[in-house]
Amino acid sequence: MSAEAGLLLHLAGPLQSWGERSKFNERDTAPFPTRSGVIGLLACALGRRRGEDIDDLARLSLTVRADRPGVLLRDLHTVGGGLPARHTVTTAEGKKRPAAAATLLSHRYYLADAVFTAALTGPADTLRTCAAALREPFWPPYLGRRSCPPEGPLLLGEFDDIHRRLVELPLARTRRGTADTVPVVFHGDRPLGGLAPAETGAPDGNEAAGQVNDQPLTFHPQRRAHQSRPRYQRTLHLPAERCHGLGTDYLHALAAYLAPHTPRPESSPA
Amino acid sequence: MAAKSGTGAVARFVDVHVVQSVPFANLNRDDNNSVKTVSYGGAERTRVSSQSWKRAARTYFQERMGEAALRTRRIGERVARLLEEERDWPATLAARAGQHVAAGSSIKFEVDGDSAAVTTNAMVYVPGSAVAELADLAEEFRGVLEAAKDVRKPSDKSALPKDRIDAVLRSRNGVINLFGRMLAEVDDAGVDGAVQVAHALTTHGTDIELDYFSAVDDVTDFWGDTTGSAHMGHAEFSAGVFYRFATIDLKELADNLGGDLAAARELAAGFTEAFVLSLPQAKKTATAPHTIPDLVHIAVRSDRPLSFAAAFEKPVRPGREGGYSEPSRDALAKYATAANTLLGNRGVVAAGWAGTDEKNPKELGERAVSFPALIDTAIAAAYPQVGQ
Repeated sequence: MSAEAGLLLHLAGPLQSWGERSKFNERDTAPFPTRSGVIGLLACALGRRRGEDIDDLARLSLTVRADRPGVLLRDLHTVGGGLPARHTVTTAEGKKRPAAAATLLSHRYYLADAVFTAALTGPADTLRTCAAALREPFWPPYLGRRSCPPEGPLLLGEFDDIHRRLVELPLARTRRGTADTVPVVFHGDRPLGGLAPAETGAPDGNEAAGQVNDQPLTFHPQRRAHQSRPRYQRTLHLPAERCHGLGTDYLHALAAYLAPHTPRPESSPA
Repeated sequence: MAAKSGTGAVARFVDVHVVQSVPFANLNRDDNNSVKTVSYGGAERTRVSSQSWKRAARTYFQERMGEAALRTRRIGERVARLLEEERDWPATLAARAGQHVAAGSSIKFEVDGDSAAVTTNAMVYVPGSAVAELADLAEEFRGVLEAAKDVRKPSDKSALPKDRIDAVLRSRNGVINLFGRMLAEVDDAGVDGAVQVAHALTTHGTDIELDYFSAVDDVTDFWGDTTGSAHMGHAEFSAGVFYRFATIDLKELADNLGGDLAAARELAAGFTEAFVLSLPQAKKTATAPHTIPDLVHIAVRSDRPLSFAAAFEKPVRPGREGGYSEPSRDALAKYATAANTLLGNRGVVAAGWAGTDEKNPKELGERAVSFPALIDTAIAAAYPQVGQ
């Protein structure tokens, strides 16, 4: 990972949900933003309709820093309860369920209290187009589900040395205890050895840690398809003073860090 | 509402932020009857899911706008019944009219062997008013229908004009244009909603109260027997100040309406009012939590929707005299300033607020005297009239 140009995104909100293998009534979430979720977010900002070509976006590489991994939340979601039969969900045969069985239950999983910083790299023109779209999205962006709007700012800026920034940027977490360093997990779709010098006794993230089925082929509603890809993971121990708290405090720290590097997040490059 | 003049920016989104105190209540429960919660900023908050508040808003909206939608394969039978019951058509002719309505659209249809009813293969999802419109069409062609044959097989042709039936079936009501079609359709004619609603959460950590209750048995009570109860149990409740957020995609809404800006204005205003004033109805008879928002802040933006949830990521602490509402309003104003400063104060076409506050947070734009006045000015900035 030599100095590569890319975009930094701040993926934060009370709730996010990055489905990995959701089917029917069980809607799961992966513990980190998936490639399909982030590429879908870009497609949404660009105003691409489902079924439109996303090959250019699917070529971008994604490395994610888990500022706060968050906690898993299960939400019970009902559809059609207490409504007249004509308003309930129709069966595959086009009939209605009997009143006693009219309410459909589903369990939707979310990551609560999670914050991720994502680095996107790839062809310069694609990145430029995406950055412009994130500043003025065609549709309201969301973190995996419509009910999960992102906290601003979504786009932190365009950088020439993206991976250094990804490691250096203020951490959206509260400093606890007296330890000098905090462990921070990075997830990538490429080997992560180049992120930082090797730490003694810690894996360098160059070996795949597993597979994720989140490489989108098409978002067409009836033909949605994904491919699996290797997943890389690496833990870095970063200086604890990089923890800059929550909410407004973090926003101020972010502004102070970004000021010398970029005019403003989401503002047009000077 | 302070509108920026001369920016020339096109309004794209209307962000609605609500700070609202809700007393002892359980507006939204899970499968254990427990209060829904979410951990945020390391504190456990009370949560009301977006689907719960959307339904409350939809119900409010439908009552106010007098609109309801039908999702059915039996549109023909529905029209037949209306003709027979409300317009005094003979039963056989009404049934035939229903058959011809169902067979007359571009959706394929089938005939039920027992009832001779004609059903469309795919569901139609239409405004409730579509039934009356199709009945009007049948009235217009009554003479033709009297001379026509019953529809007996899928190859039979309808005596009614296909394009006019299709036009009625394609009409979408306000709820569909706002919220989208909520469920997967058989055919590929989904509508994406133009509003996005976030889960509501309290601005501070909340403790869930376990309310132990027992019910008195009147008979043993009358006998002076005080040793037992008829029923015991416990229920969960909590109280707190909620932050709620929704955004309207102005372009998507106008597109859903085929560019009809007058309708878009009406729907955007109707939704905003419904979102601001509705409240989920769960356990209302036990808790009557019918409050109004302490503060509503509306921002019309040209760049992107901007949630202020992070204003409360650090849980709000009660003010010096107690209470979460005032510090929550302060936190919102403070965060709005920080976020807009970071983004270079671009993108806000107009901003304003209304509420019960005695203070006057300048950061949130100009104060409106009432919620309706706030909504009116916001929508006027969102969809400007030509010549303004």
